[in-house]
Amino acid sequence: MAKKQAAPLIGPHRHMRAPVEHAMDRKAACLRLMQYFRAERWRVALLTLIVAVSVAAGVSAPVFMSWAIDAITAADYDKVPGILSWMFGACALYAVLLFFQGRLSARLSQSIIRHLRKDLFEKINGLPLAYLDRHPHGDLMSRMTNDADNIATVISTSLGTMFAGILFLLGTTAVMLSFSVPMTALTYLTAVATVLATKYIAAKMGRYFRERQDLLGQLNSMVEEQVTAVRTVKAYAREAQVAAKFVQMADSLTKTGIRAESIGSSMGPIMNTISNFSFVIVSVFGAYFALKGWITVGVISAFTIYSKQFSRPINELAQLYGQIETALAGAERIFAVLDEPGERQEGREVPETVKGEIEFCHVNFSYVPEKRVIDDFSLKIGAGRKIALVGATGSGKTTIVNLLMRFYEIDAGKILLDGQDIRTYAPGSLRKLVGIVLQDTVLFSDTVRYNLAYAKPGATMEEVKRAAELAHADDFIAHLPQQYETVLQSAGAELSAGQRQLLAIARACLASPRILILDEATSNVDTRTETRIQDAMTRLMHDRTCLIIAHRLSTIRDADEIIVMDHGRIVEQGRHEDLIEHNGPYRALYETQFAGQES
Amino acid sequence: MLHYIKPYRHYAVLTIVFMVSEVLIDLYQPRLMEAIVNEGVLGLHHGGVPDLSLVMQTGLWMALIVAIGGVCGVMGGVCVNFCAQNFGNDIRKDCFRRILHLSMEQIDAFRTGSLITRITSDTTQVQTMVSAALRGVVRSLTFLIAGTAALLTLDIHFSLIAALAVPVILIEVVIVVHKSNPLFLLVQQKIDALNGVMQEDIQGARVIKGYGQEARENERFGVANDNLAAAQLRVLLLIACLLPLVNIVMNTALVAVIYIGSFDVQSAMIGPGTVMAALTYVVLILNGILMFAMILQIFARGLTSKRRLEEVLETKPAIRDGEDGETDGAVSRGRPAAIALHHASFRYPGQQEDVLTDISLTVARGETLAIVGATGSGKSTLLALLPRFYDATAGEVFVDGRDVRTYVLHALRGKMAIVLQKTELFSMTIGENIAWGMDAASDEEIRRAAKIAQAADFIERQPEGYGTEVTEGGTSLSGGQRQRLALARALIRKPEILLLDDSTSALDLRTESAFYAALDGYTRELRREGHDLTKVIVAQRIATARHADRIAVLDGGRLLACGTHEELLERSSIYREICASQFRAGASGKEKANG
Repeated sequence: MAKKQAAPLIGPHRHMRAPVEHAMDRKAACLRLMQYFRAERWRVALLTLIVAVSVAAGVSAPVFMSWAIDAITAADYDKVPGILSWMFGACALYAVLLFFQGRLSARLSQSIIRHLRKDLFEKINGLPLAYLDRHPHGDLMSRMTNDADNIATVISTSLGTMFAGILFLLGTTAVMLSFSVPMTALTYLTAVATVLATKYIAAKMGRYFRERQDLLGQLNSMVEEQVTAVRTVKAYAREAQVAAKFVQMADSLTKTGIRAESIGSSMGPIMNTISNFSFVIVSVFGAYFALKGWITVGVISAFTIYSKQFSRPINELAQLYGQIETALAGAERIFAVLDEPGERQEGREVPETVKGEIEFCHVNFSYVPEKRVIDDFSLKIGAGRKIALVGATGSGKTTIVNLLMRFYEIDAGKILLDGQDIRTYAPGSLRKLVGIVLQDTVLFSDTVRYNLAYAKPGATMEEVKRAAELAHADDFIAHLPQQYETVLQSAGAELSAGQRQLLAIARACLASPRILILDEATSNVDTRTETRIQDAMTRLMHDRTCLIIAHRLSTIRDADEIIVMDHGRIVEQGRHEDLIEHNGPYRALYETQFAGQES
Repeated sequence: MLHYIKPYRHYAVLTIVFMVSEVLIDLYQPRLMEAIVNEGVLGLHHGGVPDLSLVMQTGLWMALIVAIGGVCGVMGGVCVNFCAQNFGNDIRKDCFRRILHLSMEQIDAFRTGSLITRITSDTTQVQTMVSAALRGVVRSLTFLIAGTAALLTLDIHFSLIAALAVPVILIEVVIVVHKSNPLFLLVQQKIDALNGVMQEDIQGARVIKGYGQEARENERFGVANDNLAAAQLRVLLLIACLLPLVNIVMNTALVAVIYIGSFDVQSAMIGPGTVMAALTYVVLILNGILMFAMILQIFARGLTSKRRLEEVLETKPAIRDGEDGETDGAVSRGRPAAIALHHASFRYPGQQEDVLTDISLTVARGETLAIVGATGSGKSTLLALLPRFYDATAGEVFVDGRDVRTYVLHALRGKMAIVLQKTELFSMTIGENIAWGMDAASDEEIRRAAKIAQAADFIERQPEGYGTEVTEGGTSLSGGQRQRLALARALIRKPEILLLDDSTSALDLRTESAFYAALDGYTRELRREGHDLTKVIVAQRIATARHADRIAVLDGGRLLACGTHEELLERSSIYREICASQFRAGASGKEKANG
């Protein structure tokens, strides 16, 4: 299990939302990732074969080259064309295999990543709402995008390279040993030096890179926040102050960035230098050995090439190491989500003949263990009745909706539908029964028609239009460029708040549910339009159970019964007239409507 | 954009110097090796007698310059970073400042998401482009030019090979790069689409679950997923062609070198060591071309980013400070009205219809005006004209007797405090949020503002009171609590004009009426100090509007009527209609009694 380090609450790092993960169990992540390879095992096998043969071809080319040089040196000029044609053959084979290798790894990587993304998305979709509410959305998104991308890159490029690199090293070593053991030893010296240098630089780099990532994250958060809230910044004429803070952050990011990148970019030259030193060593010692007659001149040539070629895979492996680390860390993050328990979907189907009678029996609930939000809540709503929930903000009205929809599970008591505990029903089936219009309207970036027919994808145009008329949305839809086929580019952000709500109401109309819940739905629509909608709603609400949550008394005056909530409890209930007479909390709320501000 | 490099041109020059040095040193080595083999081992010019001391000497010399080459390389890396990162930083800062000063229209035109991407990702791309240019182009060009020259000096025949191989590879590279660029764009689009679905679904989880459409969303995602995988595959397959092609050309060249070399050695033109050197040079040259290809790609992406950044940097803010102009004499007789609109109209750019038509309205100092009207009647837009978020497209808007366009923006907005319809809070403590609009505010002032805004109670009940962090998305606070914080933030500034755009919509009636009572008390207190507070309140509820001195009724962008509640009941049928829809027939008796 990955150990998570929570973001500190105060100090300069508090803006960092995503927890810093130190992968404790890279092996486990690696193994799980392998599972995804299993599905592609034929491709993997073929790839292995191709890489092995291509490496053999690649290793043999310098051998031929050195033989050719030897032949030239020994003035055996007739042998040269023959050797060269073998060399050419090996190179051609190598190139062809490289081509197929590239294509195969491409297909392999895309297939695996597609699979991984699909699994992750379906998982996220099936997670209980409690998880989504508690985890920052940006972080979840990052797992789908950044983390998945890292894995994809590693698979498509790095994996083949790494495998080839290892084989290459082995093959080359074998050939080198056959030429001259001492020369091989020398070459390995530089290899060791390279590895040591890499580790040292990577460690130093790591620290600065992490620091830079932190600062980058903070900067990005700041940019997002300020640009999104630019109206407020301009309204308060704080441009200069905000810019000053940004400059400070940007400068400190740059400083760290320069340090990190300078160390990072020194990796290349240092590797190059080491490889050049090996070139020197091979040249000098090779010459010495040749003078002693232990090796031929051609061997020097082969070793100069090998030493240069040797350093390439080692460099690549060193760089890959970092990439693979990152990819595995990403894989862990993705698996962490995949391992979350999904929402439980078992239960019976709600029968067609359900009447829609709801009863809450002594329900207790809290989001956070210490703070009880719903306290001993008992309420019976007969089928087809209109009930209004009123009360101060935070009194628990929205929570009641969450509980009825089984977005969250109650702590104690039970909720009955037509006398049956709702926990015996499958959540999906239960929710299809209930239509909700929420406080924050959510639409999708698709056509207006798609959005309206969301609950019933097969709805006819007639049904869509009728629903729009009922909700008084047909008017403004007619004024849109393509009417019902207009695509809402930014999920409806281009419409006014009131228009978005009308669409949400129309959507609920079309769904035609047994139970309707309006959660402060019409508070952004002016009261004139609201009246017209309510008229239509009254027609729609015939023979349905309705729960209306608002704190505008004009909205709920038509209710069959009014439930007054305070701090999670019911403090008063009854019909409007009776409650007025009763002179209790309801009356006080009602009075303020008329007395204006003269209290 | 080049002028941003100017301050760092010394670093740029140093980088080039270091890079070139490093490359030249790299290129010199094969020559030294050639000497070692030809002279030291084979003793070609000494009648076949090897010279070990030459080998040692040359070896030491090689080691030395390798070390120098390494130092040059590292220094080059440091310099290029100083140059590129500071370059990118300057652009980033300018971009951010520019965006803050753009007008609302301009920001809407760019779209917030795009602006954010430009500051974060586009500047990084441009930075990478500069660093790649300084490093990569210099290296690859030097390899190419110097390598070719070195090859030429070895043996003229080799240059033929180079002359053939280099163009072939160049053509291959250019073709692949040319084909892959549009594909990269395509992949970007597909990524955007995937992210779009992802984001919508996470945000709309309640709706999806509520309507039981999880399966359909999975399908929708599946389509986007498949599209992205297909696009990425296309790119990868294309790139997979490049390396093998280059490899073949390179190896053919090597074979050719050895072949021709064998003849030249046979005719004693050159020694075997020369052939070895030539092989090394050929490899270096061709690697240089590959490097060049990578850089072309970075350039392609960098240029797109450069364009996007220039779009922002070169946009002049549409709404700029005015020079302190002459006041309009006619209006400034006596004490000028706090706010006056004179036949003001407004329409969004590119729209056919006016959002506001011919509005003429005056608000005296210390007066409270309420604005009511249906959704889309222009109430918020009217308010937006006052701080010059938008400029009227016809007519004039006056604040304190002066056309708003003559004010320095800072001064104009400093007179007002605006509470927007959508509350925007920042990731800092509650206390810091309230005091955000001021340079320095005492705890006393913060508490006072919170008290008037009816926020003090819930703040004190928070785990750390005023020190509690407000988190992104405000999941820790309800809509009503956030609105109250915004109200406190406005009040603490002691503004001359207070603009409330439906800022109490999430408050229940009891809290709202307590707020207005406290606000009244605060207004009276300010008046005693000689400070008039003018208020313009956009309201949905008549109960809220009734509190005002006068009420303006907007409908379809026109001002229908303006007067007290009683006057409007008499004069305006639309007003009566609005009232009727909010009050019940049964209560109208009580209302008539009051009215």
